[in-house]
Amino acid sequence: MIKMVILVIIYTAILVYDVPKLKEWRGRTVFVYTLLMIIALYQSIIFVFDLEWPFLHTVFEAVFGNLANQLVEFLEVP
Amino acid sequence: MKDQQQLSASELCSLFFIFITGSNILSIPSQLIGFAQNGAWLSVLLSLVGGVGLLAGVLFLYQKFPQMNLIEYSRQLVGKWITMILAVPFIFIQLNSTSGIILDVGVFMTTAMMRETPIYVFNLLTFVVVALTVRSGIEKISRMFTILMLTVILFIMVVVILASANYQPEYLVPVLPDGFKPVLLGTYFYFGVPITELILFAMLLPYVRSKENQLLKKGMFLALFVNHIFIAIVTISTIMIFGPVAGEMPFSMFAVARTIEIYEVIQRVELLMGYSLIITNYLKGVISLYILNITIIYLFNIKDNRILIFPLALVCFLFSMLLISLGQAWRINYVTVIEPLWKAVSYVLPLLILIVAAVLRKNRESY
Repeated sequence: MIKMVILVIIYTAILVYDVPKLKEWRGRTVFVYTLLMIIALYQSIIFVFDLEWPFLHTVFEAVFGNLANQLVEFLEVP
Repeated sequence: MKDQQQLSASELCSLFFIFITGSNILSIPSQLIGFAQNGAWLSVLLSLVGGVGLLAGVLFLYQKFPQMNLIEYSRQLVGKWITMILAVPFIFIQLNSTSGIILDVGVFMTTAMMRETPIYVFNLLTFVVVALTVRSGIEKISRMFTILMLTVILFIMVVVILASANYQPEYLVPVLPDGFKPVLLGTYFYFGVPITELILFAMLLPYVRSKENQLLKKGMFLALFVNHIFIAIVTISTIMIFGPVAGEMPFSMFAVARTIEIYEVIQRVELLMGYSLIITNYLKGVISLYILNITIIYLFNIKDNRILIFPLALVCFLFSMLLISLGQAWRINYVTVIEPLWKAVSYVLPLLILIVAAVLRKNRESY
């Protein structure tokens, strides 16, 4: 619950500060800003509800994990 | 979008030194010793060779395009769409690094000082300060940071000197008890994690006044050498105190400082290391978030270069919470095993592609 309250305060503070400025901008600026806020919202859900949904670390672990582990195992001394 | 801020060569070199030395001087030695054992200092020296190569590459491109940052000359060399493709992992790894740097503050506070306080309190407060500092601009950041970093270097040197009473030089030998492989493993980690990040400075070089280019090159190489010397000193100091178990201590310099007790007068100096750890992570976090912000700003041609700072800080804060939610053991494996390879692909590969493209273009023009 406390996590949710903290996040609501953070989102409110950011939006109150940024939205008046965003009105001056259009197109790409609003698009990138919205994209970042959607990513943050997705992460917020994972954070608040302690979910195990994928994010960047999951993707990169899947892509580089095997090769990186093989490299390290090759260089490790038993 | 075009920024009017300017830096002197010495200010940028100072920022460069702070960025590559920053938190690494306190957090890297133990992990490095864990991999390379007594040969850890050899890994540092080997990484220097790679670091010099990368820096030479960054400066070669800067010489070709002195008024442009990495994103801008990438567009000129390989086109808009390839730049976009190369920028995706480049941005993702920056997100990951910025989150990890500030997460270290939280991990340190909750393991060494305030164990009952939730880690998000430290991470959140640090990110608020970091975001506000980034908003103040690169000129102010560079002027403020030099003094803070000098205090950190001073405190670290004080600890290294005071701890010398407990040094046991015999711990330094044998240098290669298990052959050269552990040294290569240490190099994989040390070169992969902090040294490849120097490529990010290709985003800040255009801020330097054009008259000071020669001074800039010398200064950056000097900063790289001094960084490696400091890391090697701290690593050797840690080995001489703890010997083979040094690799198992998460914040080794903090542990080194704890051993200092001279005539019951000089003791509890680990507070200096606590201060240094928080400050260095803050400094590095600010530079990291600043570069992440301008990378996105230039990639999407956004006019207002401050509008994304708060959302980016929020994304990084939440990412740091996701990283720690999987446990510190998972994270150490992630940072030491996966990140070096990920950083090589995300930072070094684009740099190599751009260098090849610049050389090919030069050859084409000369015919």
